[in-house]
Amino acid sequence: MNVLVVNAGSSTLKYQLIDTKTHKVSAKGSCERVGFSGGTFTHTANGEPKVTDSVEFPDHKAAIEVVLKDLEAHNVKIDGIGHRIVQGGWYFGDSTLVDADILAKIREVAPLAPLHNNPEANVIEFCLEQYPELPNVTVYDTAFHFDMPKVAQTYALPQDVCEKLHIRKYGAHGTSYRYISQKVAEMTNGAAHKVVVCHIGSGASLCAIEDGKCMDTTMGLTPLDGVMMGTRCGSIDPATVCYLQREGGYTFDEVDDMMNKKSGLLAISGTNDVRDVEEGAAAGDEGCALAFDMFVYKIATKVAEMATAMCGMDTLVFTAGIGEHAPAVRAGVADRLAWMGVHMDHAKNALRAEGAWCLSTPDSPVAVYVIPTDEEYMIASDVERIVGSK
Amino acid sequence: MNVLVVNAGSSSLKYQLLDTETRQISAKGNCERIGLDRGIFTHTGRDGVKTSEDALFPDHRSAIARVLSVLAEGDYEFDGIGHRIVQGGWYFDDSALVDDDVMAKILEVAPLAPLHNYGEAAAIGYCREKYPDLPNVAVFDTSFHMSMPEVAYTYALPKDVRERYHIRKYGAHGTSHRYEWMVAKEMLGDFCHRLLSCHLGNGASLCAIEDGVCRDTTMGLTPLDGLMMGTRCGSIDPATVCYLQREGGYTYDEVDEMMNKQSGLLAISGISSDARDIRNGANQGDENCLLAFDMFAYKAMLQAGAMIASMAGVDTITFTAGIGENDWTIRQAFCECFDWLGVRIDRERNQAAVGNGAQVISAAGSPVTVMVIPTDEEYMIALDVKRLVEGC
Repeated sequence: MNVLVVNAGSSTLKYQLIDTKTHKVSAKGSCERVGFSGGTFTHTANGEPKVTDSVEFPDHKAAIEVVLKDLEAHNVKIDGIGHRIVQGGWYFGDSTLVDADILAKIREVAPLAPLHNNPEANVIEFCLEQYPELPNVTVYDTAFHFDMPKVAQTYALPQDVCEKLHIRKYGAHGTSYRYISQKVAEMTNGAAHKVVVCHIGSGASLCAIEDGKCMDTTMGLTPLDGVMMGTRCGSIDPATVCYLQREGGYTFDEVDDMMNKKSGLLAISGTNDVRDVEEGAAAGDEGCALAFDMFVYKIATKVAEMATAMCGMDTLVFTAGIGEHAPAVRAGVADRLAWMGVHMDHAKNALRAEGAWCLSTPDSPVAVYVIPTDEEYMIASDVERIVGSK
Repeated sequence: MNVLVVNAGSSSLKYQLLDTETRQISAKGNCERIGLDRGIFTHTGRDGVKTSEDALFPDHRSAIARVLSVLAEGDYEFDGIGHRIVQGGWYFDDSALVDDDVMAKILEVAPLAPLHNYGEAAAIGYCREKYPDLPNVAVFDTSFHMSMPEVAYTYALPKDVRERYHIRKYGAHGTSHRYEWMVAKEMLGDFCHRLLSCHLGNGASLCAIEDGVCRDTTMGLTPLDGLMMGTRCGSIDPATVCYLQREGGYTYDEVDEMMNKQSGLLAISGISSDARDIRNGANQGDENCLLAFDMFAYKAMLQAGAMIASMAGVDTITFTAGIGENDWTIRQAFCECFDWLGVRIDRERNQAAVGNGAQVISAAGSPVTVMVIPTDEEYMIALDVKRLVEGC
């Protein structure tokens, strides 16, 4: 099945055309600066990128229109479209075939992810209008976490407030966790039972997966919570927000913006890129050294939390941009966890292998892997599963 | 040394007169409903008789005045006064003999604990006026945590904001955690290096203590963060505060109040913030009460995992305060989850360990020693007074 996978960010729209049989990506591209002037459209087919500058994308509908027209011009056949949705809210524990009801629900839960859900819904609407015969499937970042145990998902706030405003832990990166969980099962022949996955990119979260089920995750009501990230502070005393408003005179929108966009690695080191942080630390910059140590410390302590959610851990997985490509971060986390049976083979850790590999010593009580994530492939296979079952 | 220990809360003022050599308490009592109508004054003297009478305490000065005059009337003598101070802010990494400079600093850091530091400072001020010759020692709930490493106390917020408003993890219950370490070390000697101290009361926090030094703790800038508590929600996504204002129309003061006073065990059980009431409900099968306990235990366990990671292992776990000393079911659930780290609880010892003083509840041969150690912050404060006054 030939599936177009669409991933609409707050100001971008990325896509991939995937053949679910061969796993081959026949075309991919992105629209940058959606909602701003001077956008860029990149389309890569057969490994040859073609970049078009000065394309105007006033909104996400304009972006998907450019993508679909371009694919049409190349005579590409599409059997279905898969859409990544950031927030499935209190409705979706699995991916869904889109109809009017689904679309309405995606918009209904949008206050939980105001920068993402509405643009994504607009994109779907456009696809439905232009290609009414094509099936559209929505794949939610939160669905994997939907059924996590009540003790993990419930916030100890007044329950009438939680019900009215739908406050709970939703988590994120669920599609990535689902993919990794399947891969781990394949790679270990089902020997992995208590798995902690560290999805560490510019957004970062951890997930406790016991026999394929989410037991807990570090992101919360929003993707701010949990570990420290590129520009996000992660878990801090929630009363800090009130304190900043009371003592600093900030509005809640300003604090929200500060915590999401001006904090994290950026706030401690001056850069949000972990490679620059590493280089700065190596060159003796104190801010960078602290940022790196904090980053590793917070990941390691959260690994221990996730392991405790399962009363143990037999497998630790690193994935996503930093998890796959930053051996120093992996080593820092693993070394802080040696006491709980994480024994890393540092030579294996330093490898830059293609695909997945094991980086623990042969007798390590906890097996450690790098497994490159592939959310697009997971979305495409969901489209096949859901369309095929209809 | 005879020490008067004063613990001024937001609307109460408790006191104990105790002898640091014998640990005898010759008088104790409480001024309740300070700043409100219908105040109550209770006092128990050396005869052990408890009296209770109506009183009016417009402020903390009037409360400490009452205490001092009752003690003077009863010919009670003391050589120094120890004051529990909730927040020592960025100044105090140890208890301090009070002078004008210390007073000014307690007031300067008060915005971090507005409901506490002002009242406490007022009580100290009165003591200094009334007995200018007596030493006053301030003992801070936060000072023990000042030894935390930078990775643990730093919030990843913009540096200028952090510095201007002194934002960091301060923690709390430091005097209690310090006491737990002192007693565990006395009892276990060389077997105790990495201690997880679980202070589980109406307010609750965990502390990772490695060779007497705080490695990390669960409370944060304020005592809201960390574990779920009687009426506090503990750690939740900080963006929830923004969301509640944006979508729910609450002000930040309302959210602050909600998170501190209407959340926690109270919010989930729907009946009470008192663990004993919730235990009764749970025993009768009430689902909300069961969930409240399960959540309390779960969140304590999870954060215990993080605390243990901060010191790369654990050899001793202590439980203290209301729930920690009295609720054996929570201790059992907690310990059984950590079987994978070598925690073996002795179920019978654990069930028997209610109200019997400090004792071991782990099984013989358990790699990790688990103890119940009833906390005694007043004694710890009195010891600090002696240490600072006598210089030893």
